[in-house]
Amino acid sequence: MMEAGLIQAEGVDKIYNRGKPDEIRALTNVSLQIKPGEVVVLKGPSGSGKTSLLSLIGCMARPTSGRVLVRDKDVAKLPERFLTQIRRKTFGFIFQQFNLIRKADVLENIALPLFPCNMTMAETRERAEAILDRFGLSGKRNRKVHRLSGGEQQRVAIARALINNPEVLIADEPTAHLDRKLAEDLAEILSALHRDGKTVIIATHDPFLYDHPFVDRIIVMQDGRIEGVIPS
Amino acid sequence: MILHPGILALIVGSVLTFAMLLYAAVTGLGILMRWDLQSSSEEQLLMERKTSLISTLINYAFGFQILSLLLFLYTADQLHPQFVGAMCATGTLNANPAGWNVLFLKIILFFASAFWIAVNTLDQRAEDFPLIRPKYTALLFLTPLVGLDLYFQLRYFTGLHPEVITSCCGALFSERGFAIASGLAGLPPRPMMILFYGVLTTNLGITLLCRKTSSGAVRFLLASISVVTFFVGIASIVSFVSIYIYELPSHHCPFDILQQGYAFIGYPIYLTLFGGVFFGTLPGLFYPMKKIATLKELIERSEQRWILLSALLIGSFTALCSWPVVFGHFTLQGYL
Amino acid sequence: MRHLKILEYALSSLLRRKYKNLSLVAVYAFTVSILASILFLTHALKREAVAVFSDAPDLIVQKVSAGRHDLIPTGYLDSIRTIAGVGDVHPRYWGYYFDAMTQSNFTFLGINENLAGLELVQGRMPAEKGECTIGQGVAQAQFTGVGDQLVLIDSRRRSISFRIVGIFDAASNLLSNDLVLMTQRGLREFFDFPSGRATDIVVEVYNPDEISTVAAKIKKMLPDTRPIAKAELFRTYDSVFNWRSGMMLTLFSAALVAFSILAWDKAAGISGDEKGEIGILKAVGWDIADILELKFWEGIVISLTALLVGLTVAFVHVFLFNAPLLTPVLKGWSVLFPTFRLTPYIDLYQVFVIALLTVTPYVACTVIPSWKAAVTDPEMVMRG
Repeated sequence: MMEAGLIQAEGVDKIYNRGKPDEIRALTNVSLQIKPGEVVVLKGPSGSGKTSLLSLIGCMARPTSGRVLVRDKDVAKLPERFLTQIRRKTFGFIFQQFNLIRKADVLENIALPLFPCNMTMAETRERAEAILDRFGLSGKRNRKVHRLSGGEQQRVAIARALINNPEVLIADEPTAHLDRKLAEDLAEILSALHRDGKTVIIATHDPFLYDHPFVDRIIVMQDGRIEGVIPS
Repeated sequence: MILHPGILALIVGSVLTFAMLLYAAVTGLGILMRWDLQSSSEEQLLMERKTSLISTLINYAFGFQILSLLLFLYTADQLHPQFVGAMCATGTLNANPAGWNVLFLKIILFFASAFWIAVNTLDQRAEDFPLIRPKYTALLFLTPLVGLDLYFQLRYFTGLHPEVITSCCGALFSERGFAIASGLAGLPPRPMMILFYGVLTTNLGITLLCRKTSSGAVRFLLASISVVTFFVGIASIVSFVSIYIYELPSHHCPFDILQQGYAFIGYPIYLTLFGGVFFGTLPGLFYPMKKIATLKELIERSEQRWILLSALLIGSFTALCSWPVVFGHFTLQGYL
Repeated sequence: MRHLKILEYALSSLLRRKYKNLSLVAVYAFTVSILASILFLTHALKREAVAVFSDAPDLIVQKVSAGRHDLIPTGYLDSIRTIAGVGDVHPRYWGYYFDAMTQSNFTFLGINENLAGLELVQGRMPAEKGECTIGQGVAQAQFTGVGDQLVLIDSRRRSISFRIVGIFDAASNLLSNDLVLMTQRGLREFFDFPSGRATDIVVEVYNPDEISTVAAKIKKMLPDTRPIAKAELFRTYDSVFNWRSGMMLTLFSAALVAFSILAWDKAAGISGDEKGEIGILKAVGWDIADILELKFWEGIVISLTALLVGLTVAFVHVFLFNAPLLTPVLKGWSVLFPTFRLTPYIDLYQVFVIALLTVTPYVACTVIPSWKAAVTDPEMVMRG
C-alpha cells in the first residue's frame, strides 16, 4: 500500500511573477519522493529553491506546473482552503524565524493552529498544556513571548509545530539563528521525533544538521534543480 | 418626503448594500470571463481568493437585508399616526403604491439571497468550484434586484406626504376623500382554516416521504408544496391567526404581531414559516445538481438535514399558529 | 466551537493593539453619541408634547381672519350646538404675555369647569378675579410663592396685581411650566377682550369616529373658522419632530462620513506588525475564511463597545444634563424647550436605528481591507 510514498513531486516548476519584468524561476522540473518516517535534508546555497520546494511540499503554495501528491492526492490544483486543511492535518512547520506572536502569551501561541479546528475550548487547552509539559514550558505558560529567552522561544515554536500531531515536520533553516548549544537541543528533539516515526524534511546549509546521524537522505539543490541525492 | 431617522437609516443602508453588491457583481463578472481552473497562474489564484470576498460581501448584504426588512416594517409602524385612517403599518404601506412593492421585493430578496448563499456554501465545499458560473451569473440578476429595492424605497419615501395642519385649515378637510384603507381584507376564516390545516398536513406528509425515498419527483413535490405553504401561511396569518392573537374580529394586520404588545409572537411565527419554506425548497432545487460528481455526496448529506429542519420548522409554525386558536379566550362564533 | 475560539482570539488580538483600537472606539462612540443624542432628545420632547396633548380636547374651533388666528364670536357656540352628535361646547380664554422683567413668555389661561390633567396643585385654584395659580417656571422666574402678589402690566401700561393662591408642582409638564391660571373674568379684563369674543371654542363630540364629520359641518356652516382635531395636532407634532431629528441627523451625517473615512483608513492602513501576525496565522493553518471571521468578530466587538459607550454618553448628555451641546442647534425650539429635566426613556426602535445607521457604514468600510489582510500569502512567512 505504502510503496507510492507519502509525498511525491513530479516535474514541478515554480515561477513567481510570471510574465512580469521581475519574473523569477524558482524551481525547474523537480521530482522527488519521500517515504513515511524518513528524515530528508534539502541542501544547497540560498536561492537554490529549497524554501520554494518546502512550501510546495507543505501545501503553502501551488506549483506553476507539474504534480504534487500528498498521500496520493494531487494538491497542485486544489483551491486554497483545501490546501489549508491538508496542511493543518498533515504538516507542522518550524520556520527560519520563530514567527511567534510576540505580545501574546506562550499558551496562546502554542494553541494557534487549533483555533480554527472543531474542538472545544477545554480540549484545546488540554492539548496545549500537554505539549507545554513535554517541552518543560509549563511554568511559563502565561509569559509573553517577547520576554522569553531565545531557547525558550525556539521550544515554543517547536511545540506549536507539533500541537496538531502532524505526520510530517517541515523545518526551514531551523539552526540559522541559533547558537551551537540550541542547535544541539534542536537536533535532539528532531531525532526524538524521528524515533517516534515522524517524517522530517529539513532545508539547511548547516553541516551540523546535514551531517547528523539521524538524516536518512540528502537532496542537493542548485539553481532550482535537484543536483543529486546522497543516501547517507 | 418624510425626513424620519428610520427612513434615513434604511436609505443609507440600502445605498451601501447596493454599492457592496455592485462591487461583488463587477468582480464576479471579471471572474466569469477569465476563470480557468486548469491554469496555475497567479491571476487564477487571485480570482479564487476573490470568491471569498464576494461571499463575504453577499453575506453582509444578506444580513443587512434581513435587518432592513424589520426596520422597514418598524418604520412603517412608527409612521402610521401621520396618515389619516392608518391604524398600523398596513395603513402606512397603503399610503403610496410603492410601499407594498418594497415589502414584496424585500421578501423576494430574502429568499433569493438565502438561496444564493446556500448554493455558494455548497460550492465552496467542493474541490473544483462546480457552480462558479451559475453562481456568478445569478449574482448579475440579484444585484439589479437590490438596486430596484433601493429605487422603490426612494420612490416610496419621497412619495409619502404627512397630513399636517396647514395655515388655512386642518388637513382632514383639505384632502377629503383621501383616506387610506386602514387594513387588509382577509379571506373568510373558516374555509381558510380548512385550507391551512390541509396544506400543512400535506406538507409534513411529503417531508416525511422525502426522508424515506430518494426520488426526485418527491423532492420537486416538496418544493412546490413549500411554495404553496408560504402563500397559504401568509394568507392564514392575515385571515384568522391575527384575529385570534389580537382578539378583535376585524383587525387583520400581519405586522402588529411583531410588536411588544403581543409578546413579539410574530418573530417565531414568521421565522418558522420563512425558514421551513426555505429548507423545504432546497432538496428540490439541488436535485438537478446531483448530476455533478463532486456535489452528489455533499448534497445527499446536507439534504437529510434540510428535510429535518423543514419538518421541524413547519411543525413549530403550525403549533404557534394553532396555539391562540385552541387556547385563546377569543372565539369566532357569531363572526363566521 | 470554532467560532467561540476565533472570538477569543479576536479579543486578545484587539487588546494587543489597545491604543489603536481605543482611539477608533472613541471616535466611533463619539459619532454614535451625537446621533443618539439627537434621537433621544427629539423623542423625549415628542413624548412630552404628546403627553400634553393627550389631555387636549377632541376638537377646537378657531376663527381665521385675514389668514390669521382671530378671536372668535361666542355667538358661534349656539350654531355649533345645533349639530347632531355634539356634546358640550364652551369658549376658551387664553393668551400669551411677555414679561419684560424676566424676559420670558407666560401663557395665561382663564379657568373653566373642566380642566382635567392640571390637578397637581400646591394650594388651590383661583376662585375670584384677583387670584391666580402659576406654574413652577413662572414662580421661579418671579421668585414668588403662594401668598405673594404677581404684578403684571396690561396693554394700557397699568400694573395689575394678582394674589398667588397656588403653584403647579408637576415638574416635567410642558403645559404647566409657563402657565398663569386665572378666572375667565380676570383674564378678559386684563387682556381687554371685546365682549362676546373668546380665544377659541372647544367642542365635545360623543363618537370619536364622527369628529371629522362634525368638523366638516362646522367648516361648512361657519366658513371663517378652522376646526382642528386632536389627532391632527398629534400628527403635526409627530411630523415636526420627525422632520427636526431627520434634519439634524442629515446635518450631522458629516460626522458619520468622517468616521467612515477613519474606519476605512484604520482598516486599510494595517500595520506591518498586524500583517505579520496574519501571515503567521495563515502559515499555521488558518484559512481565508477564518481570518475573515476573525475580522468580523473584531468589528462586532468594536461596534458593540462603541454603541454601548456612545448610547450611555448620549443618555447622560440628554437626560442628566439636558443636552447642553445640542441646545444651540435647537434655538428655534426655545418656546418649547423646557427648563426641566426630561423623563429618561429609551425606545428599542431608536437604538435599532442608531445601530443600523452607524454599524452599516463601518462594516461597508472595513470589508474590503479585511479581505485584503485575509489573503496574505502564507508563503510570505517562509520567506521571512
